[in-house]
This record gives sequence, C-alpha cells and structure tokens, in this order.
Amino acid sequence: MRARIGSWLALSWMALLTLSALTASWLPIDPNRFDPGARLAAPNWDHPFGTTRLGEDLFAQCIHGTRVTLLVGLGAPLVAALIGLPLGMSAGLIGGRIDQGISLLLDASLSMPAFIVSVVLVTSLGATVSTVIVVVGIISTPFVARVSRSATRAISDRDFVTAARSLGSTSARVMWVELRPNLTAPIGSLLALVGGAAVLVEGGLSYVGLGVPLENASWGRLVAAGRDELATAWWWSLIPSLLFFLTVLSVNVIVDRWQRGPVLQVRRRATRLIERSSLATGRVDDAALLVSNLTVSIRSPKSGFAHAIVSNFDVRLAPGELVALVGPSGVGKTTVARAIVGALDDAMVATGSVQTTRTRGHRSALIMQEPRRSLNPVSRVGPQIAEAARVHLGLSRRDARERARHLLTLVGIDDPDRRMRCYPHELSGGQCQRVAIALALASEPGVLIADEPTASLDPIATRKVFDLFDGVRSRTGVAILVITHDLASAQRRADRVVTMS
Amino acid sequence: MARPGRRVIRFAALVLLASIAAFALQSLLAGDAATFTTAESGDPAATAAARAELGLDAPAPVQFARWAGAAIRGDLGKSSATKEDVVDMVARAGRVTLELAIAAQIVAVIAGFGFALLSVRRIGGRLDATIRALSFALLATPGFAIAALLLAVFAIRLHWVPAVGFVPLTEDLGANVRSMVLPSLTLGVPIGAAIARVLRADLVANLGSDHATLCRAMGYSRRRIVVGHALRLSSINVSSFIGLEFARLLGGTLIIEQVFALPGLGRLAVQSVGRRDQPVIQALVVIAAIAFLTVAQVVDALHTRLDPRLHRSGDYVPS
Repeated sequence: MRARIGSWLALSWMALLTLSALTASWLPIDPNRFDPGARLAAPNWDHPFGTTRLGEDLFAQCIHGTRVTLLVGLGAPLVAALIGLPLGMSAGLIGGRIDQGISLLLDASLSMPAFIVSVVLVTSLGATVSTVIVVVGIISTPFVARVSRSATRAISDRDFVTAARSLGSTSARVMWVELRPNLTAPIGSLLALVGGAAVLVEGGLSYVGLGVPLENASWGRLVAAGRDELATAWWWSLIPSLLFFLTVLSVNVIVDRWQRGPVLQVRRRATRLIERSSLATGRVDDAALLVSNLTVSIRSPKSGFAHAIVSNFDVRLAPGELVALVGPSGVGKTTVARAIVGALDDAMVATGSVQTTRTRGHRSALIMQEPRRSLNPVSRVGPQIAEAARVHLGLSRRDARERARHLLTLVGIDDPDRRMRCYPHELSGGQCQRVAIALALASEPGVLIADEPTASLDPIATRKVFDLFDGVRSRTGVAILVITHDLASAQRRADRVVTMS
Repeated sequence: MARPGRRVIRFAALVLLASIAAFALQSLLAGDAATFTTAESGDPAATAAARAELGLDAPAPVQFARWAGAAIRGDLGKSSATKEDVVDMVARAGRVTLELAIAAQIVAVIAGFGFALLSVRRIGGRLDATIRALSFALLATPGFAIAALLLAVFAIRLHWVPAVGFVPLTEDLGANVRSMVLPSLTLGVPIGAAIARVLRADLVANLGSDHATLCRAMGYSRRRIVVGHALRLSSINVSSFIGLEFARLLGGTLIIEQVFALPGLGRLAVQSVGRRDQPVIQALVVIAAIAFLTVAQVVDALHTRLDPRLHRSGDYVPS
C-alpha cells in the first residue's frame, strides 16, 4: 500500500516537472527580473522560494531551470542508448573476436576517470546544454553497452532463441522479435538511472562552474550561486538542492517499483486466527520421535486467516526405526519435515507437539532434497561437518575434525582426508548426498528426516541409499523418517509406511 | 579467469588504449598551452616558437610516441604552466586523493555493513523499511548538498571541524584527521547506502536459500547463520562493488575536493584544464586509468579467492 503511494507520488512529481518545463515560458514569472526592494528575501507569498542577492525570484529561476534538468535527464540516456545498445547487442550476438574487441574498448573507457574526462570535453567543446548532454551520454555509454551485452548473451543462450534459430529465423529477426521484450526491463531501468545520474552530473558540473552557460538557469548553478550565502539565505542553495533530491529520488523509486514487478494488493489485516507458532517441542523417553496433532497453516495476508496445509498429523518412530512417509504431491510432506526440524518458512505457523528422544546433541536433523544446494558452496566440507559437531557437542576444533573424518568414513566416502578439503562443487551428486548425511549425523540427532533422498535416482542408486541408511541406523541407533514418492522401495525397505492424504 | 600471460597482455593493451584516448582528449582542448601562455603578446611568431619548444608542432602520432617513450621510463614531462615535474605534481595531489578515498571507503564499509546487518535482523520489519528509505534518500542526494548541510551544521554552527582546507598527514596528524572528517563523510555515506543495498539484497537471497534452511534445521543461531554463513556468501558481490567504487574515487573526487578546498587530483585536473596544461591532464587520465585497472585486477583475484566455484581446473598447469 505504502509502496503504491510512493510510486504515485514519484510519477506525479515527474509529471509536474515536465509540465513546468513545457510551460515555463508562458507562465507569468520572469527569472531575470530583479526586485531591488526584496533582496535575499526569505520564502513568502510573493516569492514562494525566496529571492537572490539581486532580488531575483528563486521560484521563477527554479521553474526555468527545470528545462535544463529535463533535457539532460532525457537527452543523456538517449545518447547512451543510441551508441551503447547497438555496440553491446552486436558484441553479445556476434561473439568471437568482435565481442573481444568491443569488450576491450568498453573496459578501456570504463577505466578512464569520468569527471576529468567530462571536464576536459565540456571545456573543449564549449559549455552548452547539448555538450553536457552528449558528454554525460558518452560517459554512460560503456555501462549501457555492458548491460545490453550481458543481457543479450544471457538471452541468446536460452532455449527459445535457439529454438527460433533452428526454425530458420535470421539473426536480425531473432534480435527484434525475441530479444527486444527481454531487454526492455534491464536496459530500461538502467537508462532511467542514467537519467537520474545525468541530472546530478550536470548539477556537479554547473556547481564547479563548468556546466551550462549562465543564461540558462539551471538548478546546479543556483546551488552554486547560493553556497556562499548558506548561513544568511539558506533557501538559495537548499531549495534547488531539494529539487535535485526529489527528482532523483522519484526516478529511483519508479525504477525500483518497475524492477520488482506488480504489487500484490495488500489489504488491511482482519483478525488473525493464529498469532504465531505454538509448536511444543520437548524430549521423550521411549521414542525417537513423537509427533502429535501437528497442524501447519499458512498465513494469508489477504484475509488474515490461516489456511491449514497439514492437519492433525501424528507419527511415532522407535529408536533405530526407518519409516517411510508417502503421499501425493502437495499433501504437505516437506512441510511436515520442516516443522519437525524447526525450519518452517516465516509465513507458516505450526501447532501441536514434536518430541524427540534425549540425546547429547541436537534433537533432529534434515537431509534436503538437493544435497549439493543445501551445503555451503564457499566452505570446505570437512569444516562444515566439524562446525555442527562443535556447536552441538561442544567439541574442540581438533576433536570436531576427527569426528568429521569418522562420519565421512561411516557414510562410505573413500579417502576422507582428501574429501574433507573439497568444496561441494568438486564432489559428485552421490558424494554430496553422503556428505549431507554425515553433516546431519554430526550433531548426534535422535532422528534424521530425509526429504526425497531418492527422487532423481535410478533403482541401483536408490538401493545404495537405503543400504547406507541401514548401515547408519544400525551403527548409530538413529531413527530415520524417509519422505518418498517411490512406494515400491518404501514398502520393500522401510520398517513401516505412513501415508499422508 | 585468463592465464597470467594473457592477463598481462590485456592489461597492457588497456593501458595503451586509455593512453591514446587520453592523448586524443587533451589534444581536443582548443588553444594549447603555447597559445595560452603567449596570448598577451599576440605575436604569432612567439606562439610558434613556444609550440616548437613544447614539441607541439610535430604530427600527433609522433607526439604520442615521444610521450609514451618517456612515460615508460617514468618521465611524464613538465607542466607547461608551472614548469614543475608532472610526476611530482601528481604524486603530491595523489596523496591527498588517496587518503580521502581510503577514509571515505572506511566510512562507507562500516555504514554499509552495519545498515545491511541491521536490516536483515527482521526482513520486512520496520527497521528494514526505515533503512531502505534512508538509503534511497541518501542515494538521491547530490554530494554538494550533503557537503553544504554538513558544513552548515558541523563547521559553521558547531565549529567542531574546520570548514575547508587541508593539513598534510606528515605535518599535524590531528589537524589532518579533522580536515578529512567532513569530506570523507560526504563521500562515504552515500557509497555506504549503496553498499547496504547491494549487501542486503544478497543477504536476503542467501537467507532464503536451501543452505540457510538447512542451517536452521541444524539448530544454528540466527547470528551464526547471518554472520557465519550468509555474510560470507554475500561478501562476493559487495567486495567487487567496494573495489570498483574505490577505483572510481581514485579517479578524482572533483566536487568534494572543490567544495572543501582539498588539493587533490580532482582540483589539479580542473586547474590544469583551466590553464591548458596538457602534460598534466594526460598524466592524470592515464594514472587514474592504471589505478582503476589495477584495482579491478585485485578485485578479480579476490573474487576467485572468495568464491571457490570460480576455480576452473583448466587454469592449473599439471605438474
């Protein structure tokens, strides 16, 4: 709701600016008429923004300055787009040597100090509004070219472009029909930001006396003119600064709104049924896991009511038991797993109770569906396993490392010393799954929840996973709850099958 | 990641391209130094003599070759305005800009990380929204406006710090630090807002990842998940961003140096453009480009260290 008001305000501000720029000449205000009787007058009814040292009306000057701001804000992105888009898109589409050459040129121009370059260019080409537009446009060109290059490359690898090409579309047709709609968002928002930045650069150049000529009132010039009177006439410098601020802020707000896509309508919340999770967790003596009356609901911001996705679920696992949890897709099996291990999404609330056996370590552990993605990609696997042991068992670094080595051997990893130094991306999918099991065991849980561990595996690999689970539970006494779609394996390998429906 | 040999060649090619561009740029300046210094006499012969003395009568490629030959030996020529050695002038101004850039970046990193970490304490909460709005506002505020406000409050009203001027580090440490406070805040705080935005976006993404869910399932504290796991994963993009912002600062912080009267590279550039001091302009552009490219290389190397997925087996020469 607030976001909508913000973007409407931003759009209105931009519309107001455009209107004042277009009508400035016809308005009954004169930026050059000075009123000697009202020098350095604070904002009042006659002069809403106050006056300058000569008694010029600051409001009139600001309104007239709008034209420079808008011209630069629209012109510079246009220049950048006219040069940058063809450059970046051809580099991205053609590739090869042309891409390398263009990239080299872009990198070289990005390395040049933008402000020094613009000062030199503005000085040598003459300080006019069009020079400022061209210079700021040229400075922004490499950014536009880079973004359009990478956007083109990312898209041209995608299936639909390959498909269009294989159907015999020519390159030019592919470019227009397939790429254009997909380039609009990244390039459009970049150009809008370039426009906002261009306004500030013009302001900066004018501020150091290098921007547009004196006869064009510009906000930057006004800020610069008033800076020595900051203590006596704050409005002279600060009101134009405020205009800069509001304009760039509006551009940023609009771009941000656009990048995030349509707003979900959020209405005022009605009475909420469930305020927060009241899931009771505790320890139990005679079972590895005792779940009773577990209900998980998803909070709907729209109605304020909670919608139950799992209702009154009960399950009990004896120590060392392997139970399969089966059921059709969408019935809430993964949600049950998340609720048991205490990792529900923020929007979900759970009630009921989850009790686990008394162990030295953490109450439960989870093996996720995609083991590689669940591991930390920038950390070696040995330290990851050791961290769990340190946190939950209070082991020293050395003992934890020893335990990690032991666990990797337990899950059947060859050469654990070498594998401990590997990153997840250096291991195969099967090895990652074994590492994930070792990680789950590191905190010495009483129960292990495995979410679809055999989902994408062939029958032989599936058998190996169940063999591994059997080995683990016979050696550690941990109970395992396996969520699966594979009813046949579940019936063959599990002690018991629990069905959710 | 290219092989070391290729990287060196690419670096050299980029420096050469930037030098050529710098040369073209400075020769654009209408009215070269000779016309500028002999303008009062109005004697065409004097101008021609001055041009010949400065080597400005040779064809452009010859002039560039002469410059490049000397530059490789570390000789960037003499200022055509003050006859001082360009290397000395740039080194003197560069120290100021370097100090400013480092101070500003320290401010930016502290502010950026602090705000991002506060934001993700409760994603979507009130503090998060406030910080978001604040960073939006800071990113939209022109540097000269921030400078004006800080000056009005801290220098003019409160007299905590001097309004303008610079005291070298070697002369008086305390005075140096005081003269750097406002400029580095002016420069650093908006960059901090940008850092906070980049870092927050990555932190939010990483806190919603499978790995973060697993961390929660393993019963790790929120603090451990954020600081120990998500922050490490999120540091990759933000470190590139910080590096490139730093490189950009090294290219001159023109407005800030102008407002606070700091004798840095940006001010030297404006002065030199004013007096058509072509050797100094050429040197400034090339040195800024080299500094930028060097920082970009460091960022690249750091990137590889922070993200082991970027190691490709092809880069290692089998022994």
